Amino acid sequence: MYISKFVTPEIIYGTGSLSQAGECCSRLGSSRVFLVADPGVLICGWVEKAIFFLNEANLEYRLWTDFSANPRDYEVEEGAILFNDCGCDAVLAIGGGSAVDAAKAVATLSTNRGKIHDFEGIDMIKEPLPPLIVIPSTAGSGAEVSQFAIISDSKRKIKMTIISKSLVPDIAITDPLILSTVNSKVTAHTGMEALSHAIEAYLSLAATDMTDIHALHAIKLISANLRSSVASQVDEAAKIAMSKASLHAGIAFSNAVLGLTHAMTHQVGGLLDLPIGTINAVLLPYVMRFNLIACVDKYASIAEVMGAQTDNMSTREKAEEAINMVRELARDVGIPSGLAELGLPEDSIPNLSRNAINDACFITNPRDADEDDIINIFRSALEAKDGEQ
Amino acid sequence: MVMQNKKELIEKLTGVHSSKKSYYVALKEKINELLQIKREWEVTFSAVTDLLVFINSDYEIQRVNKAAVDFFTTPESDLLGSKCYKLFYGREEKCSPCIGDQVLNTQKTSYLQSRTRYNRVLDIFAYPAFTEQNKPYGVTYYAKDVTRLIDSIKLASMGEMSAGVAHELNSPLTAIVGNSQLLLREASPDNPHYQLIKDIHTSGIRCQRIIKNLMTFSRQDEFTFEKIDLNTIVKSGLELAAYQIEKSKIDLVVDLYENVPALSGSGNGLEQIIVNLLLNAKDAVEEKMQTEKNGEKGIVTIKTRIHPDNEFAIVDVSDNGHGIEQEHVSQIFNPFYTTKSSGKGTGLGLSVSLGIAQAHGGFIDLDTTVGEGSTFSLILPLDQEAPVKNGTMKMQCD
Ligand SMILES: Nc1ncnc2c1ncn2[C@@H]1O[C@H](COP(=O)(O)OP(=O)(O)OP(=O)(O)O)[C@@H](O)[C@H]1O
Ligand SMILES: [Mg+2]
Repeated sequence: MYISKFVTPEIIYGTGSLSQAGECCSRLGSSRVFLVADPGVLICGWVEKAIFFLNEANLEYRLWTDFSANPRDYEVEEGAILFNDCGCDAVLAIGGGSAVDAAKAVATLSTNRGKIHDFEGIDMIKEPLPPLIVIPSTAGSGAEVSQFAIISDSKRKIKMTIISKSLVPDIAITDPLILSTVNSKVTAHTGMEALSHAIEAYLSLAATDMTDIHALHAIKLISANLRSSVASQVDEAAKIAMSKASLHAGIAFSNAVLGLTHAMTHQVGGLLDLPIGTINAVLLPYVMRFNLIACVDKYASIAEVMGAQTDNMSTREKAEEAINMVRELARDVGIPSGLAELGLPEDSIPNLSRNAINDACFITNPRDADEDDIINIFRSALEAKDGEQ
Repeated sequence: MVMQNKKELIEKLTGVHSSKKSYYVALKEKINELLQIKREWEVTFSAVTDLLVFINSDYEIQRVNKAAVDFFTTPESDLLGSKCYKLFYGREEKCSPCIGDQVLNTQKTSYLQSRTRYNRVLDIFAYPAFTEQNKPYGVTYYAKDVTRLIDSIKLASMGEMSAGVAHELNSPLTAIVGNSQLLLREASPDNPHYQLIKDIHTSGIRCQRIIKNLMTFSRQDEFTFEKIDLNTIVKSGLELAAYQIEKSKIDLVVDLYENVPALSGSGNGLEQIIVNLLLNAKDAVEEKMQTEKNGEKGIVTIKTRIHPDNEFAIVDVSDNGHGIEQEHVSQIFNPFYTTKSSGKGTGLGLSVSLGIAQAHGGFIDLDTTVGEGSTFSLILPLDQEAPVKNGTMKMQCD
């Protein structure tokens, strides 16, 4: 069908693998590291640990934390100036999706002249980036393996998506230990974000056998472990499973891209300063409902890996069951059932729908849709009513 | 159509046609750029005809231009890494004071004029080189060879002075030579004073000769050209030099070609060349015998011949002395260039000789091998009616 491609960074996985941070940086030729960290991660002491390992490898570093939860254009532009002024030669990010996105943007601007919006869209980065090492602190964004970065445009009030193979980090270090300091709210919405990544990648028009394996495995792990991970910060088995799930979901969506859920989420995210994972989780069942006729078999497989009792069910019933199970999981971990609860004004819907059509993620959605279709999905999500039930 | 578009969109989105940007390509471009800049600098450097030498703070040569390589007649690879004091002055120890130190300490440009190896006078400008952090880390020397300029200044004042001295000495000398001549004529050789007077007479003549030399040198003297026989000139030159050569226990071989045609020239001038060449040959043999006690017997040969095509008459003065290092050959004709102790050599012999030869339309050729000996050949054009009529001798100083 399509010619496809599969890319991942070097992946270092394991409990305590944070200790590899310094070695990885110096292996990539760095002597002064630009350390990008979430304020949250800073408080939990992980940055201090990372610095310890940098020191151990005789590396100098410059710590940078001046960015918002949804990193803004001017913030990353200032970061890049700092990077060059300090004579840094590698970027190490430790944090959630926003820290990684900010790090990717700084790396881009450190070698490519211009403003960050010059790189919006597909394959706009022309100059190679400095070495980029990423240590995710949450299980969800997948940014540690992906070719995407999302930065807020402070003037246009939208989120810009930058897509480039150059944004795939050189090394991803996944240490499940770091998840032990994440609170249940964040665990919930990042976990749901990972689920939406896995499901949309699985249903994507660009999915391949290779991405399917990762997507299905991620769905299975999340379905079985997200509840217990949200329930307890110290459930080590659940943390290990969720960190793996996030990694697999990241690998899947980075290569297969996403779908309409994300195309819509990005619009809402530009309007409401909410975690992407929460918006995703609310929208996912409604979009799944809409997409169902495009790939009933795949929905059935989702139900199966999620552990549904499907013995006497038809394929169609199994597919319906997949949507129910997603909805149930979201409810269990405390995700609101409708957009109204998130505070989305009804009159914003036509505008958001128009923009969603232009979002890159929409390209790989399995079912064609026009503006009216999207308006309808938004409406049912707003009122929290599932047409078929 | 829709299908095709969608397909293309998806391939673009998943990055089928794009890869992570590689530093290899960027690096390659940068390297080529730098090489280009390097080449341009090299061309610029080698086009500079003065010496450019860069040293680090350990006085080690890091970079030289072509002019420097030529000046030191040493391949670049041998120059690099050697100490600057060794290169410029042949010293084993750092100079004191050291202009490099001075420049590094004051961080200011400095200037020095000094006589370096090969007896050359260099105007040396030293510039400190700084690192990006503004710390001095080396010195660039820009050196101009001003030997000729300096020597010609020296020459000019020497000329004026000697002209004056010669003039003053001429009259008393005439009295000494004339009167002793008179006394000699009257005295019988048995007279106990005869030998004394004869010594006064020959010494007086010798003084007149020295003065003549100085006059020639200071361009105060003009040659008169006449028909002369080359062999006769050689013989009279031999009369003056043979005694000193044989006294030093050096064999003298004379081989004169009978049929050298008469030529026109200055008898005195040419005789002076012969004497100079013979005495130089004697010195070279003597110096060699002193260093190698059991060496072969010293021989000085003087020979006349004519060139096969009949255009030149030639006088060869050969010796089996120490020969001349290639790097000195170009300098021995320079005025004041001498390797002899200051009492012994003035360094004027060859420059005056070459000047006289050139005034005759001729020149002096040299064939030498270090350790084996040298042949200086005075080459004079035949068949020429007074090539430079009453020509003033031109000094060879540029
Ligand atoms: N036959 C020779 N063999 C080796 N070296 C020679 C010979 N003739 C000349 N030279 C070198 O050339 C130098 C210059 O010779 P030149 O006759 O000009 O000056 P000088 O002999 O040193 O002094 P003077 O003015 O008394 O002649 C000598 O000092 C010597 O080093
Ligand atoms: Mg001499």
